[in-house]
Amino acid sequence: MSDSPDGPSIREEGRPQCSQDEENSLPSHASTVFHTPEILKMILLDLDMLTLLISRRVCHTWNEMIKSSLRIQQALFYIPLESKPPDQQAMKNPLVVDKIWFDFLRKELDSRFRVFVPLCRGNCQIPRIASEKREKAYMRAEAS
Amino acid sequence: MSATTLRFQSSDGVVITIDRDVAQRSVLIKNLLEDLGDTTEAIPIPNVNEAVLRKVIEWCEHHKGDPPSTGDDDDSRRKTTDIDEWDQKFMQVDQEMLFEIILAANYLDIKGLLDVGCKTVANMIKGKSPEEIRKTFNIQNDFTPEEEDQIRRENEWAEDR
Repeated sequence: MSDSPDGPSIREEGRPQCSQDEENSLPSHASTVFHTPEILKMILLDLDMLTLLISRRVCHTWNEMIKSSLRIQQALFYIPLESKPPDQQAMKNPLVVDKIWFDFLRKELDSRFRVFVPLCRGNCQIPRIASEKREKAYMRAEAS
Repeated sequence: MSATTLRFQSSDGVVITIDRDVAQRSVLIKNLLEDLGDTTEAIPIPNVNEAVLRKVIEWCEHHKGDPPSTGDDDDSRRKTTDIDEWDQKFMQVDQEMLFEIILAANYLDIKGLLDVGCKTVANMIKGKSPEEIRKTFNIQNDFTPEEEDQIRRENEWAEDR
């Protein structure tokens, strides 16, 4: 590497990072990145939903970005997409499916006592439903 | 006929010669050259030091055959943080360098490099608790315990279990 004719280096490498906030030194590059809204938004948009929700508790800057960015709110399924690509099917909120849906169905809908289990036309994902009438409605051929 | 190489001067005064087509991966430089026309003088890059500039050039050289990014925003719900093997290795640098590369890519407007940098940071965030994230990046917790608890309660349905 060639010599550079500059003065003392601006960065002092090797010093403990935690002193940065207390002393009035230059912000770290990480801090500059996280305080550049476009870059912070790009990073957050690369996160999965659960990490995105957890990231709200990191600091005010992150929380505000997650709450105020339209695209992040869309990524969290809080706001619908304006238009979905025509070649793609609508997508279920994976966190709701994961954390709520199956448990909800199991607890709320599968509580009816029954003597025999009706055939579910091979679809075992469909839970048995507490009300017989509702189950019939659910299972009819033309049901969506 | 324009010159095939260009000279750039890093913030710490080092002059580096780069192929024109490599340099034009940077939209900032591409636009600059359109305005500037031909130049033999070293173009100053005031925000980027030599070490970072050399890393950025290394990336641009490796990716010079890539199609230019369309600028299309991909679906915010279907994302992937897969990084190709060469880029992963390229990003195995200390944290300060990683963030310097991101800032340089943002300043020089090199979308592909900025994307890879952001994905690398995102991968460092995944699987961590808020406290671990703060510790990793030296971020100060500016929430009161009440504020933090309020957000925790809002997200309880997803975070627990």
